[in-house]
Amino acid sequence: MAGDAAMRSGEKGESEGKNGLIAEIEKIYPSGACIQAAVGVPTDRSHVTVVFGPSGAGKSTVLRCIAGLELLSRGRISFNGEIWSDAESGIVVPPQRRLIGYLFQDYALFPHLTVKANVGYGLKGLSRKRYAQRVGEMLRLLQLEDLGDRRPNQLSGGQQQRVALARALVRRPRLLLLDEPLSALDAPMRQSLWWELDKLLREFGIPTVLVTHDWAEALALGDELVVLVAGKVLQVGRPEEVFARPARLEVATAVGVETIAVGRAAKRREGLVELQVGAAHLCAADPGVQADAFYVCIRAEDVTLETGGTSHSSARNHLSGKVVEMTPTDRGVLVVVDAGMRIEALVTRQAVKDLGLRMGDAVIAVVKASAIHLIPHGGSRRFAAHDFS
Amino acid sequence: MNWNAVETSFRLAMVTATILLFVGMPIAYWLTFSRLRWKFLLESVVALPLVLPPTVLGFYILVAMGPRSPFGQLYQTVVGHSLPFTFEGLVLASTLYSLPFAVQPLASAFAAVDVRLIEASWTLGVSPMGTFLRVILPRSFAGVITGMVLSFAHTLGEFGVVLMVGGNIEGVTRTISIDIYDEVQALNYHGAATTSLVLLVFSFVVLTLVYALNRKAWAAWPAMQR
Repeated sequence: MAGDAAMRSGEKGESEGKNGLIAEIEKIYPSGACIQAAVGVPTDRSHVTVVFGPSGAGKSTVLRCIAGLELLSRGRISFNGEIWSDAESGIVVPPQRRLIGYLFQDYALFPHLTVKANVGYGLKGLSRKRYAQRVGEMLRLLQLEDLGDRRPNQLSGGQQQRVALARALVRRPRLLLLDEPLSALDAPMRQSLWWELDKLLREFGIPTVLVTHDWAEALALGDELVVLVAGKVLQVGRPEEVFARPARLEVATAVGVETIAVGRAAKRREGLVELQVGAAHLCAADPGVQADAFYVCIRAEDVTLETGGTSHSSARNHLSGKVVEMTPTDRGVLVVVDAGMRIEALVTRQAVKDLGLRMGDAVIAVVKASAIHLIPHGGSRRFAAHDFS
Repeated sequence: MNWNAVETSFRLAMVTATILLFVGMPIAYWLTFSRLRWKFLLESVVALPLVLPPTVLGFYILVAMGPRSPFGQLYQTVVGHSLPFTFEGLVLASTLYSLPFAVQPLASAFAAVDVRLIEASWTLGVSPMGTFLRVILPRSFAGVITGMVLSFAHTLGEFGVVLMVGGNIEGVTRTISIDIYDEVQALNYHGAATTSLVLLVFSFVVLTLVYALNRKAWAAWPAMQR
């Protein structure tokens, strides 16, 4: 599916002569593990393609193949019509001549060099003055001016990340490859750096491939999302679209949809489907696909909790149940409600306090019909509802 | 004590260690980074002097340098005299004999350099040679020192190869170890004891330095394969 997309854009691009990165990658390891992925990045505008998937899905391999650090078993990588790797003809342009910027997961700063020397490492053929200018400019841009004479081991994680980024950007690469750029940092720092990184990527306007297993990061930084699970691309699309409407069960799991259950379609009317999920009844927007059973996906953000009295609202689903679990997370408190089915809601700490929520309390989980995403149940494999509870 | 012999020995060790530094580096680099299936063959050849009796090695080198071998003839035509029983011949033999003592510490130091750093250098457009000079070598400083010191010390103490290839020419090829042997043969135990003690103390100091610098200096052929 992704291959078709890449192929199509390839045909279109040949007439334009500037078709960006087209990577069709197949890598087979001696162990038998196989990774297949097609990744495309347009180069005429600022664009971030995020390769997203759980760890071990082969994301780094994709990046390493694009960089030329790994040979292809099959497939072909081209950049604006220039062939970088072609397994069939054996063409491999070495990483040195691809003019890319690669940000390693652990940054790989040269420990024996100062920050300045690290940043200027890839510059060549410049006069001493021009060299100092370029390095100084980059240090200023990434707020590293005061750290120029330090060694990497004297820097914090965030500073190291900025030095690595400066080192990659100073050569004005044609393509930026970021391998889990923020995963080595702690959570609060990570979130503030998303916006910084996002701003920087837009500013430079360098087409980027970013690899991450953090779906919040993918959502914050990506223009296009390629979901890679167990070496296969399962879905490609705009990040919000993929998160809201995962096409397959594996994607829903990978993007962290909190509530996934199997429901049986009971009745369809007026664009709505009524479903039996465990002991609960749900009403969801009709996906327009004929199937007896669906995977019911509900994001915890889309579930509101109410206590006491029957409230009237436009939301179609009001499920009475009991609080059975409360887990504080960095996004809020994740509350699990047993309402004949297990449903998870994300509420703010303040809301928990205001409602006086405790374990065992009776609550009503409110969900709009449009917030329930249905994936047709394959049928070949039968899951019981509790498999996903 | 025969100061002539001491001088010859130190000169030989110095020249050999310097040559080995430059010869050892490309070999160590190739052994560390090559993915060829047949690289164990070169590994074995380099390690051979560790297990071969010095006389065997010396014998082959002598034959190879002799006037009947193509190499010996070539050398004779170019330089004007034959190689055996000269200082140059001794240098060549010592270089081969001490090869593993230079290559092994270098190779294990190269192998210990984080691959990510090397790959980072490549993605920054720096050639393999540039990467070697700017990343691998600076990160292998202890290995370079260890390799040089070990080949220096090992050359200083060699006996069999020197005797086979160099003979026993005062001021040219008579080294400390041969001098000690001569003294013992002449029943001059006192002279032998002094020279032996000097060599013992020197070797001990050198090894102490190497161990202080690099604890893994003698872990035989570690981490050659990644």
